[in-house]
Amino acid sequence: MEHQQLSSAEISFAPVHRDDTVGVICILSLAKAFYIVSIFMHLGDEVRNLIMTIVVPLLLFVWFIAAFLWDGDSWRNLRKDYNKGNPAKQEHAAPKPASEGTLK
Amino acid sequence: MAQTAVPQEYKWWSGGKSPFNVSYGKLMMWYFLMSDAFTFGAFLISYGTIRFSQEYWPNPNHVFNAFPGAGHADLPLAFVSLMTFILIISSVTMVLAVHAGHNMDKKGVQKYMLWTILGGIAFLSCQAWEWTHLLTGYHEVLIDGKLTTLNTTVSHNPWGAHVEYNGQHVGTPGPVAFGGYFFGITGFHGFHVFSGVVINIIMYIMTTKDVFHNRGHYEMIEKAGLYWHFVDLVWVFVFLCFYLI
Amino acid sequence: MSNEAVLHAHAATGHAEHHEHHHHHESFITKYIFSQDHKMISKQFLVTGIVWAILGGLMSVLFRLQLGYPNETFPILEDILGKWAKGGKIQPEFYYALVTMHGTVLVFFVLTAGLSGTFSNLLIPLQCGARDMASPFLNMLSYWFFFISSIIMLSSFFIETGAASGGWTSYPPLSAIGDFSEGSKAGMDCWLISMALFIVSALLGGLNYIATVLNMRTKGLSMTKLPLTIWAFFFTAVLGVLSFPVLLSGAILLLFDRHLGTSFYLSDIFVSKTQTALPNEGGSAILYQHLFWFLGHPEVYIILLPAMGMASEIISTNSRKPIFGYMAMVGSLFAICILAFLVWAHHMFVTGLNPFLGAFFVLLTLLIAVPSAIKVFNWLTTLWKGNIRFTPAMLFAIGFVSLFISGGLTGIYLGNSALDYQLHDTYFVVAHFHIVMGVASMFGMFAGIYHWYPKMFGRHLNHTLGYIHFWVTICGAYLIFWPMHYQGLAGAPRRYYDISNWHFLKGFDGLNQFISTVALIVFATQLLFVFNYFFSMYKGRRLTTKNPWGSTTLEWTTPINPGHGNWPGEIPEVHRWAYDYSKDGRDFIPQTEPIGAEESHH
Ligand code: HEM
Ligand SMILES: [Cu+2]
Repeated sequence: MEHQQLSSAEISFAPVHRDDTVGVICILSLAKAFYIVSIFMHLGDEVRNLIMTIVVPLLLFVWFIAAFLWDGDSWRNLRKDYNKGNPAKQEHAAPKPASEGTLK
Repeated sequence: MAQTAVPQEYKWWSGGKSPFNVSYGKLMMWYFLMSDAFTFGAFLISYGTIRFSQEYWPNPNHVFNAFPGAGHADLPLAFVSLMTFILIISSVTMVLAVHAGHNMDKKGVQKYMLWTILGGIAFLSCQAWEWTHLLTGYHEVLIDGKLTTLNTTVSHNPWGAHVEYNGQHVGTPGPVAFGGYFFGITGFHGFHVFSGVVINIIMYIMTTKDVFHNRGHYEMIEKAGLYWHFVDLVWVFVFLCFYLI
Repeated sequence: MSNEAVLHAHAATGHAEHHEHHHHHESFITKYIFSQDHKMISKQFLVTGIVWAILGGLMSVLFRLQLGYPNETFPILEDILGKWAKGGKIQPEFYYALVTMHGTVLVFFVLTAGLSGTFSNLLIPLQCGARDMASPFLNMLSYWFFFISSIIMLSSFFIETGAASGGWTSYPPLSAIGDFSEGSKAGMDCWLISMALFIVSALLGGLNYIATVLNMRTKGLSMTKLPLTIWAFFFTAVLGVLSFPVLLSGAILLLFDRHLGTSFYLSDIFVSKTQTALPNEGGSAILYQHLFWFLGHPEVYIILLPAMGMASEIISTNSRKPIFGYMAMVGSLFAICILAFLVWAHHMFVTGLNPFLGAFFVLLTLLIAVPSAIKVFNWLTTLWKGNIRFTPAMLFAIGFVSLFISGGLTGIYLGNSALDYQLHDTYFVVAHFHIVMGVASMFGMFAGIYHWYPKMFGRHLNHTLGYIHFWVTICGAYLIFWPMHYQGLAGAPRRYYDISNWHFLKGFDGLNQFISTVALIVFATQLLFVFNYFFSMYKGRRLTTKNPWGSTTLEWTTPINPGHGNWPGEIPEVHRWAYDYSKDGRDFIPQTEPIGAEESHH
């Protein structure tokens, strides 16, 4: 069994860490993805229309991602409202053991 | 890729030929990969959705800071960077295998396919180590006012926020979705790597048996290559979502 | 090696295969069972679809019996069904299993596999002028995955705890926790595994359809000369290839929640049956709904588009007029295809969906009315002043248009979130989707079968039986589903075992009996069609010409009973679009005829 002492007690709040670098990291990742597809997979060498039939449908991901994350964020806000004034449901609370029965 | 020069107003779409100048097999492979991108996309987007619905999410720099043989040294993301490097190198050797195939160079195809297969196996081994490390590493957390230890599984997460306890900073349990998605998605990716290795082994055997040589082209290697690079491509996003942000 | 080498190597093998076929004798197994001929695979899909349609229809008759006569007993049911109908009364668990399986079977097995599987397979190679699908082998696999998926789904009825019963949408937590209901036990696992295999089948099929339409069109057949059937099958395949994987992900996560203790969809759950609180925390049941409907909405268009394509073709042929607004028809199919991906959350307005987010979904949903209306007006203008031949296929195609209009209009009610808060999960929704999707697509399918049966079997279906089939079915469909709008508006909830307990719904008792009776009659009439189908295979009127309907498209240039490879000689070349009807004094001009020097433009 391995016990690990954390070196820093920094408390970081989600959903995303180090907000200032996230944008850069995402852009760099997309750049890497672009190079894998266009150089390694040779998509850059294909006929233009073939490229289009592959790239254009990927645009669906824009709304796919936006709507899902939007709703996820909305659940977080809803939860916050429900939990207000409910002492049994503090944030960061441990998973309730089955026997506690706060839900009865 | 060698593309014969075409006259200016060549009618790509007029029927009797591929409008994209590719075989149906390669076309199907591309579109299959696109649909697979939606499978992975759905997983990753679900992960993002749940993460957005949480107040707190573990910091990957704390979770992924171990390295085999380095004891308790704090080396954030060092090991996963090595894994990423292995995978990208195996992509490079795959590119070289495809290239050798274009030149009908059987020896070259064999050599680079072997390297690619090795790279895949190395990646899977690394992943096995990382999973084991998370599943068997217990960490001190505060639950209901008592200190206990938890490992990282699909139903436990010791990586919660830190709180003051007896003048000390101690951890609390974090969102269990972390483990579920981590093991679920890296597992699904690992499954793809595994099937890629199997495909590559089959390709190697077929090359050795001169199947492609007799066929007059090594397009199968190219299609296997597309699949292999796709696995690498997916890893970019898995890496981004679980380790970087 | 150049790309040319690959392309030509393939063309060469294609040729060799074709020539070989004349001498090569096929065994029973390769010809009828593990066939790689798209025409045979098409028939396999159709027959399996028909079997499923009978089973699925029978399920609806059984639960309509419960809904129409909640207080009566039918001892014969106990003899047949045993404990599921104890005392001659359908038990609640069984009722829910029936409703669930009815939906699943009809949506996926009949109207997806049975419709796309049959007609994409039959018509894509024939109307594109190809010898077969791009990959006949994967095409065969596509059927067999469907077959295995079918067997697993069917077998779930014979499990001790019964088939899945969480609705065709299988929402968690009901579907995730075995303690919640009998149908959430092993039956649910069967459902999930069966669906996963079905998705594999749909992907194999869809990829093949796309590759064939793009790569295998005959010389001269540019995309804009394609019949609308092919465009519709093409977009259907695109929808499936991009949305089925998302359901696969959702199903896998659900399986994990069921068996591995994950919390993807579960949080804060208390099981009253066992008096325990589950440890799951932080998941979201709504996430499953998002994933399900990301497929679910495209799925309804996967079901509808093939019917639209075939109706367009049949209406034009039997009006002896070119289709009105060909490019607008293609464009609206395209627009529907795109919008279908963007509107999934209109099924989730009442889940606590952020209202601001919901507003975008309302907007996108209502936009679908535009391409839908374009199609409707184009069908109507094609019929307008046409020289109409009322064949059974034509009647079903016109019936399709009527049903699509009726059901599409109620979609606009539901698409407004403010109205949907009232209407959601009532019989209004049941009426909407049965008319616009269920019955309309069945009509498209019937139209297709009556129209292309001669191509499949070299014989005609019996037309008299066809007319009876049509009139009873269209009247019955409206009589069954129209009144449900009123029930829904009055607040009758869907998916209830017995709504007669509510005083305010008492007034509907008689109506429910009426609906159930009509449902029984309509079901019996479908058996008439099944009889017609199998009878005509052996005894139907034989075809005397290659082209019984005077059609322009390529499938009618093949021999009456085409062999593997479709055309005995060279594949014909195409010179014109598919809709030169009543042109320059001629009844129709086949696509294979070169454009004459004097010809007018369309
Ligand atoms: C103008 C066009 C349409 C609009 C605006 C529309 C809108 C809607 C909305 C908002 C719902 C959700 C109702 C609820 O559950 O409260 C719904 C349900 C449904 N629609 Fe449509 N619809 C349209 C056309 C269609 C078409 C063409 C099809 C199929 C071919 C279809 C199939 C369905 C199905 C199957 C459901 C119910 C699913 C379920 O809850 O089990 N709709 N529609
Ligand atoms: Cu919808």
